[in-house]
Amino acid sequence: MINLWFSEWKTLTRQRSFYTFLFLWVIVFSLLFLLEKNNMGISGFTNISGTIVNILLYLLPLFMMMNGSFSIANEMENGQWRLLCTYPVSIAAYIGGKFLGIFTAQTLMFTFSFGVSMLIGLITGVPLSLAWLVRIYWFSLLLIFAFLMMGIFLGTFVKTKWQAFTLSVAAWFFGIMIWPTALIAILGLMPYPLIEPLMKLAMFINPAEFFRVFLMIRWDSGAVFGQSYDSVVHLFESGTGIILLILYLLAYFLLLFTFAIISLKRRRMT
Amino acid sequence: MKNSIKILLVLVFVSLFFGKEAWAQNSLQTQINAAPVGGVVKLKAGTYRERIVINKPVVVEAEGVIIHNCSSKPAITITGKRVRLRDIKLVDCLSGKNSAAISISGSGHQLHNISVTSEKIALKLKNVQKSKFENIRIHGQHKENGIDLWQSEQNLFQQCEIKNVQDGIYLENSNHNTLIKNSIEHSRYGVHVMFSDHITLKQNTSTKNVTGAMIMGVKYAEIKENQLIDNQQNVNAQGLLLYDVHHSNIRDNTISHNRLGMYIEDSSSNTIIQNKVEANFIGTQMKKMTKTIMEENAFIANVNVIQATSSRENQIQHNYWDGALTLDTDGNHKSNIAFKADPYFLTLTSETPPYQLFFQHPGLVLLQKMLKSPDEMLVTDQEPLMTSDWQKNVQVKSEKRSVLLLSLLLITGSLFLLYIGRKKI
Repeated sequence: MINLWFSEWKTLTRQRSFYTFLFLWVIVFSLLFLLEKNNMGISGFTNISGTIVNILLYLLPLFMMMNGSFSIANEMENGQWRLLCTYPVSIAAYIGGKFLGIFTAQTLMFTFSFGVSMLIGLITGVPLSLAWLVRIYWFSLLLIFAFLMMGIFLGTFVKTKWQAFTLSVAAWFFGIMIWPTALIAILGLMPYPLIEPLMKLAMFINPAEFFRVFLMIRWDSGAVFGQSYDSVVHLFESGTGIILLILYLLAYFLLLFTFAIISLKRRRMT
Repeated sequence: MKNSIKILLVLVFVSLFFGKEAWAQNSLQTQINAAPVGGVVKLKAGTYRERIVINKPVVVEAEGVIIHNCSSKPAITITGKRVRLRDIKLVDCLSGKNSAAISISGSGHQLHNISVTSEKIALKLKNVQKSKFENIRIHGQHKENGIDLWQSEQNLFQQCEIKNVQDGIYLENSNHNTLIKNSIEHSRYGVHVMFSDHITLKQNTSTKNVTGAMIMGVKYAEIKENQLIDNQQNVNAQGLLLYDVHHSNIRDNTISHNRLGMYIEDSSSNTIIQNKVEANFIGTQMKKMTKTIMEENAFIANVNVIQATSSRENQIQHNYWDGALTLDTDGNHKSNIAFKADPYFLTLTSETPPYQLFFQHPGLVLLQKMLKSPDEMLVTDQEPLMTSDWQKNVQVKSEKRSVLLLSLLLITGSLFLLYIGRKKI
C-alpha cells in the first residue's frame, strides 16, 4: 500500500496539469481574502466568513469528487486496472494507496496555495485574524478528506471518465446545491414531530452538512441554529465534540472504503 | 510574673483576632441611632455581623466597613428621606426567594460606592423617588436581579457594575428613571424594562448576557449611545429587544456580535437612527413594526442583514448596508439603486424552527434567490448610503506577524513535501 501511496503521490505531483490547482486556489483565496478587507479583521462569523464557507462548499466537494472518481475511471479506461489485476495487490491496498496518494498531493497543493494567498493578503494589507484563517484551513481539509473518499467510492462504479463526471456532478448537486430544497420537500410530507430528529439524522448522513454545522458551532455561532439543536451545540462545543468528529471521520471513511472494496471485487470477478 | 505575661499574651491575641468584631455598645445600629437628624456619622471600620436600619436623614460614611449577613432579611433597610450611604461592603451568605441585600423605600436618597456580593436581590427599590445610585458593584449568583425597581420614579443609576445576576437592572412600573454608564455582564437580561415610560438609557454597556436590553411595554424611552455586545451564547440571545414600545428614540447605539442584533415587535412610532449594527448573525428582525423611522444606521458584516414580517408604513431609508450594490450618479452620497432584503429564511424558520439548521446554507442561498418573496414582503431602502461614518473610526485588528509566520510555514512545509514527492522512489 505504501508503494501505491508514493507512486500515486509521485505521478500526481509530476503532472503539469496538476499545478492548475495551484492557480485555482491562489486566485480563489486571494479574492476571498480581499473581500475580508472590508471587514476590518473581525474574527467572528460574519457575512464574509459565510460567503467563504459557501464558496468552499461549492468548490471543494465537486473538485475532490471529480479527482477521486477520475483517478479510478482513468485506470479503468486505459487498461492499467487490468494490468494491476495481474499483480499480487489486494484491492484494499489499491484503494487505500490511491486515497492516501491523492489526499497527500491535494492537501499539499491546497496548503501551498493557502499560504501563498495569505502572503498576498498580507502584502495587499488585508487585516487577517489567525484564528479565522486556521478555522477556514481545517474546514477545507475536512472537505478534501471526505469528498475525496466519496469520489473514489463513486469511481468504483463507473466504466468511463464521462460516467465519473456525471456521477460526481450529480452527487455534488444533490449533496450541496439542492440539499435543503430536497429536505424541505421530503420533510414536508412527514408529521411535524419527526422533522427535528430527521434533520439531525440528515446532518450526519451528509458530511458537508456535518462539517458546516461543526465549523459554525466551533466558531461560537451555534446559537443561531435555535432551540432544537441546543443539545447538538453543547455536544460539539465540548471536548467530546472533537472525539465525535474523529469518530465520524473514521466511520465515514471505513464505510465508504468497505463499499468501494466490495464494488471493485465484484468487477474484478467479471 | 509569668502568669501576668501569659494573661497579657492572651489579651493581645484576643484583641488581634476579635477586636474588630462589633459588640452591642458600639454596634453599627447604635452608632447610627446616636447621630442627629441631618448629621454625619462615620462608622468604625471593621467586619460586622448585624443588620441595620436607617430611617432618618443622615449621612452614613462607612469606609472599611464590611457587613456579613447570614439571615434571609435585608442587611440594610433604608426608609424615610434623604439618607446618604457611602463606601460600604456587603457579603451575604444566605439566599432567599425575593429577599434583598439592601431594601430601600422613600425619597431623596444617595448611595455611593457600595459593593454587594449576594444571592439575593442586591438593591430592592419599592416606591423610591428622586434618589441617586452611583458606583454600585454587584456580584450575584444568577438567581435574583441586581437592582430591582417597583413603582419608583425619577431615580438615577450611574456607573454601576453588575455581574452574574438574573436581570442586571429591572424596572417595573417605574417611570422617569435614568440609567447612565452602567455595565452589566454574564447575566440573563442586562437591562429589563417593563411598563415604565420616559426612561433614559445612555452609554450603558451590556455584554455576554442572554439579552443586552429588553424593553417591553414602554413609551417615550430614550435609548442612546449604549453598547450591546457579544450577547450570542443563548439560542434566544439578542442585543436589543423592543416589544410594545412606542414613541421612543433609539440612537447611536453599537449593537454588535450578537446572535440577533435588534428584535422589534408590536412597536410603533419609534425613531431608530444612526445605530451601528455589526457582525450579528441576524442584524435586525422586525415583526408588526409600524410607523417607524429607520435612518442612517450602519449594517456591517451581519450574516443575515434584516428581515421583516407584517410591518408597514415604516420609513426605512438612507441606511448603510455593506452588502448593497450602490451607485451614486448625482453625488448626494446616496445610492440610486434600492436595497432589498428578503425575509425568506425568517418565514421558513418561523413555521418550522428545525430548519434553522439551514442558516447560511449554500443551497438555501440559491433557493432564496429562486423563490423570491413578493415585493411587499421585502425590506426596501430606496436610497441607501454610499458610506458610513461608523466605518471611518474602526480599529483595525491584524495579527500580521503570526499570519506571516503561518503562511511561511505552510508554504515551506508543503513545498518541501511536494519536492520529496517528485523525487522519491
